[in-house]
Amino acid sequence: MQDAPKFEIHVPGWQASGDDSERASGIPTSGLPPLSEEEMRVAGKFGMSDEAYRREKLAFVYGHQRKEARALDLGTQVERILAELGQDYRLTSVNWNSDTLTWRLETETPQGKRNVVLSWELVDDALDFRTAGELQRLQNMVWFGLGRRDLIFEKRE
Amino acid sequence: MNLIGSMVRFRLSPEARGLLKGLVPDTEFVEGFVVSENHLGVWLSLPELESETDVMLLKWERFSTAVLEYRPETPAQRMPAGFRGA
Repeated sequence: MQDAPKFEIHVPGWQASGDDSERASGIPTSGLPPLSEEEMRVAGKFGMSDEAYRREKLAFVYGHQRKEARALDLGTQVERILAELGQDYRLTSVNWNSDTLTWRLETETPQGKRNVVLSWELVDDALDFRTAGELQRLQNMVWFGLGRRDLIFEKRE
Repeated sequence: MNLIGSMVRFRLSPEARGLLKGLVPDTEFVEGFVVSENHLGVWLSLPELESETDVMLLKWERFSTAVLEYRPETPAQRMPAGFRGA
């Protein structure tokens, strides 16, 4: 079993994609999550059947799980980057912001707490392709966010 | 191609060379780390800028070429698709 991460993960808001909805649409009714009284009231308010609302709820669960898995993957990569900088660097949380479509990494460094903000595009490129080049771009942006641009320029010299 | 997170060498227009005089060495090229890019241009961190938090905007129209290192990589091993005979 995989150890629990040493950092927190925060993925607020609605994350379901078209794929999540399609996946949920193929689940038999018996496999759909139940609704609370409040949820049944909301379904009625929107003119949705209980079943349709339960499918939406399942799509939400799938989307949330997918985003959390991405956050865990990102955090694991960033921990590896920080480990190379020394024990004084620590990742404390990975946070998704659905308004700005960015990931915010909260870290502790010898200079104090630092936030590193990464675009979804950069993160997806690194985690989907995992080529040395894409992972290097991720590492560079983490270094820059931590105020260690010296490492980026040093590598170049 | 997304340049964010890469070291890139830009060939400056003659006008840009004049505008950047005093900020960077007066040469045809400027090399910097691309922190961000938007509709205006690319935002660069340069070793010449004293503060590590300072970044400089280089507008799209101020350079003619951008050169960066691109390493070809071996594709990851994948399971073959299709059916296997019994």
